Amino acid sequence: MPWSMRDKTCIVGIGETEYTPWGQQRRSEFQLACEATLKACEDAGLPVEQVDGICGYSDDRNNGCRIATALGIPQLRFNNMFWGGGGGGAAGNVGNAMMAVYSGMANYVIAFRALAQGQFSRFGQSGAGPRVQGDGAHSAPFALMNPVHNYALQTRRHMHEYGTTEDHLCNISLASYKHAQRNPRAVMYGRPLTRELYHKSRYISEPLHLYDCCQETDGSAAVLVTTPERARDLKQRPVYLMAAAQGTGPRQGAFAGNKPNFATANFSETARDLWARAGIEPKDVQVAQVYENMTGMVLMSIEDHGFCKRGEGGPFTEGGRLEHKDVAEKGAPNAGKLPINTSGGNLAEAYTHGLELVNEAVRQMRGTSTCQVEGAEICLVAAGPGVAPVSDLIVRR
Amino acid sequence: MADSYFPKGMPLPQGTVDDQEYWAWTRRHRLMIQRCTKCGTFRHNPIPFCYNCRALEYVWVDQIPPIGVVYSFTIVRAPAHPALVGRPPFNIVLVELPRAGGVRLASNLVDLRGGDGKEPVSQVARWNSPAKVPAFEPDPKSIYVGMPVEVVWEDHEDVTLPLFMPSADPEAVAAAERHPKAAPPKTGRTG
Repeated sequence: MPWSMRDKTCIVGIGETEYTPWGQQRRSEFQLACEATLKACEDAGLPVEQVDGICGYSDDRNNGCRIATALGIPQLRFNNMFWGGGGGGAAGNVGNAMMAVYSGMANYVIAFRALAQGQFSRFGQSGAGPRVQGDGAHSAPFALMNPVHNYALQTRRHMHEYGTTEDHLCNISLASYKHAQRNPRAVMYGRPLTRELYHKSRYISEPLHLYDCCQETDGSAAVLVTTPERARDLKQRPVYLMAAAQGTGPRQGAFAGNKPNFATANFSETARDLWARAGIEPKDVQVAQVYENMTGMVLMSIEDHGFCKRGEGGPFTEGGRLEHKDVAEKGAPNAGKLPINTSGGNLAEAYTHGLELVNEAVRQMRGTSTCQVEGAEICLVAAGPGVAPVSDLIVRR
Repeated sequence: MADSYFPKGMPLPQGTVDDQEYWAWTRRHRLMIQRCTKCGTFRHNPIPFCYNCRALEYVWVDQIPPIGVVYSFTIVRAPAHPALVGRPPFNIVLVELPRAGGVRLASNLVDLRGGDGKEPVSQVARWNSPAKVPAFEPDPKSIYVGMPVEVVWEDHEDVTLPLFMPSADPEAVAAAERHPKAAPPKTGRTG
């Protein structure tokens, strides 16, 4: 029996502000959140007064009630936060919007992320004080205090177990940077990456180079979710939400390196649910947006979702497989087989904690991406690798 | 150890109800790991419940000798905390404890050498006079997954951190030999 929510809701609008490097944005983060919301409504052709639900994630500082108040929304029926930090909720908050619409809790729900780290603290820096308590007491005193360190440890372990190389990681970074060169909205537009530049770049935390790490940028992105019936009165052709899944595997919240299945991205269980709900297999996906906190975790996400076997993620990246066929090297044997992060992703477009990846998935389904995959019918969005919880989304034309 | 691995200003642990006993033991230079009395499962970080059987009863299992095997590591090249500006490169290691069901500790690897900075200090000499032996930054190239290591206690004013150093302890070496070896690289440089 098909999953009850399959194709019962859709994305009808996407919005985003301009994306700028960390610290350059003069408008407030809250203003950016409101602007992205307004743009998603404008894209859909929906008066903002009709919005009655707002979903956020990653402890967003901009409470939906503040946004509703500022934008003069007369009634908010659903105001929701997806637990967990980082990008774990980038797909999950759209999943929550989907549930709200499907269940009738609300009719038009915004799922958004606003991030102006320049006005607050940086994710790349720890603000730990002289004393730490709880889980942090077993990691921060040893300088294990930033996501890059955890992902470096996981990536190193993956290399040890399966023979993954830095060159494999480079393939993932190259895909994002090549795609960004066709996307004028991307922060790294006009700043191409080469394999030589990658290998010459400094390490942040070995084996991860500078180009393995997501950017820190300022900006906001939002999508508008409603039912296909309501979508008929709106401007855009709806992009259907086939399936959503979220959660975490066994003890993946364990600290200080005590996660079992250490060299994975924590998608194994969630992905199993996802494919079953969508009623499709990895081979049915023509394009994927795979959250890059660090490239090693993208590789593990690809394995977790069953695009290849565990341990084969490294070789899977070879031959231009992750690059759009038009940007891959001439004659690359796997060119365009599974393009990922076709807007440039977190690495090269912008780091709005992955919500920009949902926007790009919608553009691919509308046929309006700057790296449009010909004939793309179904797109995966995998959000949050290595964190707990993680979340997934499958959209279709 | 005369000096700490990291500069002053780095965060130090402060015990909570859940883990203050662990830190009290490290203060006495004992590495103690919780083990469920009901089902025998080891766990770390210290928590009130056994995740396997939910029992509340546990014992502290003394790690004698306090040995381990490097499970993974990273060499950090960029400071991520104000106290670390100018400090990189340094290492972070995950150490698997074979005497405690394979639980892992996050820590740092230091190298202890004699006065000439060349010869590794013998086990006996180190146990007899640990305070006299200075710590060196190990050559980053010398760290590997599967490396046998043992605890070095780093005393701060009111708390003690378990760091690790390369070990020739027979049990550590044996545990390292049982550790899964790296798979041979499937490919070299690829396009």
